[in-house]
Amino acid sequence: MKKIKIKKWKANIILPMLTLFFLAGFIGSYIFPNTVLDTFVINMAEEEDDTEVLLPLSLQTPIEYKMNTKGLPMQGIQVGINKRGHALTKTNLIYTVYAGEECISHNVYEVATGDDLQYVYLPFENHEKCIGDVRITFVLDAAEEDPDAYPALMANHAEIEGTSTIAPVRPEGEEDTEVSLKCNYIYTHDTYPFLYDCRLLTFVFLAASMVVNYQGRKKKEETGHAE
Amino acid sequence: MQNKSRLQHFLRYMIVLLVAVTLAFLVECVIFQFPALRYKQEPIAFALDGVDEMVEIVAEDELAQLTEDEIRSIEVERDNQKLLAEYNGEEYVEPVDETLVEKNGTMYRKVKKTTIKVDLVNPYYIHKMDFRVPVTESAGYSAVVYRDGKVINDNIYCTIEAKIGAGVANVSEYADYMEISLLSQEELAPEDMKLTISNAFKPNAMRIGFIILFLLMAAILVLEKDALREKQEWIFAVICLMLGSLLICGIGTNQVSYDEYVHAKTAYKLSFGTTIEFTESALQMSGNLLPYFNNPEERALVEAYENRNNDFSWADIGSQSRFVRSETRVYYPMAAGFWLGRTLRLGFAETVALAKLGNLLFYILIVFFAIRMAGKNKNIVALIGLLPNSVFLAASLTYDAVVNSFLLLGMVLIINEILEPERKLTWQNLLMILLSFAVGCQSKPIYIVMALLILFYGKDKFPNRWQGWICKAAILIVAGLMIYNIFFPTPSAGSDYYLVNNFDYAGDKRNLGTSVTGQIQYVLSNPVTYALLLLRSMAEMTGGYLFGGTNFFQYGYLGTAPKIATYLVIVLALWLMLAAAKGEKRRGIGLKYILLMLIMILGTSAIVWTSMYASYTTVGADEIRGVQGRYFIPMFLPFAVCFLNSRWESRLQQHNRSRIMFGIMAAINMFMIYGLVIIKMNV
Repeated sequence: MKKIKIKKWKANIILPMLTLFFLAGFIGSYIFPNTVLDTFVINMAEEEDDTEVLLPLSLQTPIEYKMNTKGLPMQGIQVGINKRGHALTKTNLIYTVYAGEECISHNVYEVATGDDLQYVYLPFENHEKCIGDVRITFVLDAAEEDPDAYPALMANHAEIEGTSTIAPVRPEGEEDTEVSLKCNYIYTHDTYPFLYDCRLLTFVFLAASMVVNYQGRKKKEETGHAE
Repeated sequence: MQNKSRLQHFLRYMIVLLVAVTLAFLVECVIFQFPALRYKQEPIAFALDGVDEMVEIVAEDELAQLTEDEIRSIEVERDNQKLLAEYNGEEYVEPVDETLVEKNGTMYRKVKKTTIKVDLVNPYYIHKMDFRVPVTESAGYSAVVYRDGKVINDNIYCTIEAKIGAGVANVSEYADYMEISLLSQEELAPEDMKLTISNAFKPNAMRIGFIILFLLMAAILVLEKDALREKQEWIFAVICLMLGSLLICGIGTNQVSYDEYVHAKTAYKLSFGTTIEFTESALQMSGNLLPYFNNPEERALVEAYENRNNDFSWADIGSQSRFVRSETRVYYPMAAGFWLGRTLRLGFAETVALAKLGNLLFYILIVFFAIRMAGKNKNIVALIGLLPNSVFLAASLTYDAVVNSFLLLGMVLIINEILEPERKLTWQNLLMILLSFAVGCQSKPIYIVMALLILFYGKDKFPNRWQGWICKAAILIVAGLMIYNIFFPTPSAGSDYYLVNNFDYAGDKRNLGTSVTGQIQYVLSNPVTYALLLLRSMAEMTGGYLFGGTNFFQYGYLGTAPKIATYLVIVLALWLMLAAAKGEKRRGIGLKYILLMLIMILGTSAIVWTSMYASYTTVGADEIRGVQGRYFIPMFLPFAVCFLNSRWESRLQQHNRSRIMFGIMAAINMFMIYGLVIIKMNV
């Protein structure tokens, strides 16, 4: 008899508490979303009859890449760097980002950290300002390195709408061709991993807590005291 | 005393097992291996390089007509490429395939035909014809066998899978001459070809297993009187496990279930953490590209190929979010099998079998509890649990097993409450109902409409009127949220985020011209036309299954059972519902709930049809594509209880009714397994 009484008491308390717990989770999921990086493939592979082009980086003349973020704040860019078999321990890639005419990010990537041929993620600062027309410049800072060993950015001849790649220094035979930087754009978006469960379980437990007899508990407790 | 009884029970089954094994081996060796024992001939391998005078080879060019499926596949691929180009803002350029020729409005492919004529001199019983040739594209051959100058079989066809470079045909003819026509897309060197005919004594493990399980099932139905009367859930579990195991072992890695590759990919990915390792075999499984086998000889080659390509040292590495999407969780039983197989370092085929076994065991577990909780309706629930379509899905890589089992459990609990209107609804029961539907509807949310029957429970079911109203409102919100999630899914990670959330591009890409937005606009602007199309389609499908040329019981793409099986199960179900067992008292659900059930079934069916029209059918089409009978399995129990009758009593006692029901359901499944799995793939 006593055991049954304890069980009912537990249901009366636990079910509404679980309802509140999942309600808190439901609200919390909205307030604290999980922000994730999201890769948008722009130009990564050559068409059947196309070949890859290596755009040599230099100390003075930057490679410029122009694009539009289509209303989304851009978090960074992933470009292909080819070290052409050199270690390049003292070479840095300086990449600067302009939103319109305003410089919003100026960052350095140590070329030595990557493999010989690698797509590296170059994050931007102030990415919340990185919306709309964006221009990114890539230039080298290479103390005591052999200029012949400078790395190159990977590109091809694909036509990517809304983008342009300006590379003043070109390999032989590629002086007048249209080239496009091989890259991914990195954005972020919010995900809500517990939202679905929390909002569903809030109402599941609310429904379950509504079939518990709350008045009955009071009456029985009173009866129990009397006994 | 009880120990003695258990010992007797155990001994009895040991004897049964011994008899079954002996009988199975005898039948296999004496009946099925009879030609091998009688003729006792060694295999003959032919050199096809022109040295052997008994072999003549001629090569020529030929045009092979494409099938409708091949033409459709080409068109769908082109349409998808066009759509992708449009999405990327690129100009679409139609690719040119120089091997295709259009002639008199029909598509042909240019092929090479190699004709091989072999004079065997002395008659030979050709059991197997094994043709091996390295090809880069799949090829195929047909063979005609002769005896004394007369054709004795001209119906031998075989595909040569490029991945295994072999095609083995079952001939089973006593012949002295054969003519083989090999069609390939490339020119083949005769010296690379190898032809072997054989008549070896090879007992068939699948067939022996089939006979043993058949005899064991029969023994259980004869010996287990008590369990058949009171513990039907145990009988169900044992029979379903036997049937499912036969299906899993027999089908192997052949991808014959509905969109199995899609489900296999999701389950495989789920078996990893955030870093996924796709071996070549796993990639082929995810792309529906695994080689297909038709007999044990090809199976051995296919499994060897899969194991060679299941090397994790050169696996493709990918990543995924550490948070699992809600609708993906239904794949956990399969993912557990993939994980276990990998951990135990099993072969690829064994790992796939474990993944399927995970699904099967989970299905059995949930239906076991559904039957146990079904009170006096245990037999009808077990019947639904043993429907060939359900058993097949449980033994495949698909989430349908989770959907069907949880919805069955949920409906059993809802019906229990309807059958006892005076009993108060307990929080445990309500929680179980709602959680069953929440899990069952995760991947197919539209079935949540079935749970709305709770809204019609009388006020006596609740502690007071206000709590009743709040409870019903909460259930309505649960249903609303699940349906809302179809149209506005919670955002997840992935680069296709904007594509999958863009309704202009939503639609099943296996069909031409699909668009959810376009179709909804069409329906809204032509409501009467669509209503008529919906009613016509529903009537046509029902008529087709009952009176037309469509068979309901189906093992995926393997084939169907004859219509007589459908009629037999309908009659069986009606008998179980209309007449109670001898001496059993039961009650019906009443007119109010019969009407509500019928409205619910009609409404849910209409939503199923409409969802397929929106996502799977070309905009504005005069037909609804993609609706299959298996989508209506969750509605069978509510439909059956509409016939629940309290007035008639059967002359048979409960254990005999169970015996008949389990016997018929097991027999239909075993008949299908033998015809569609053993004969088609394992002989």
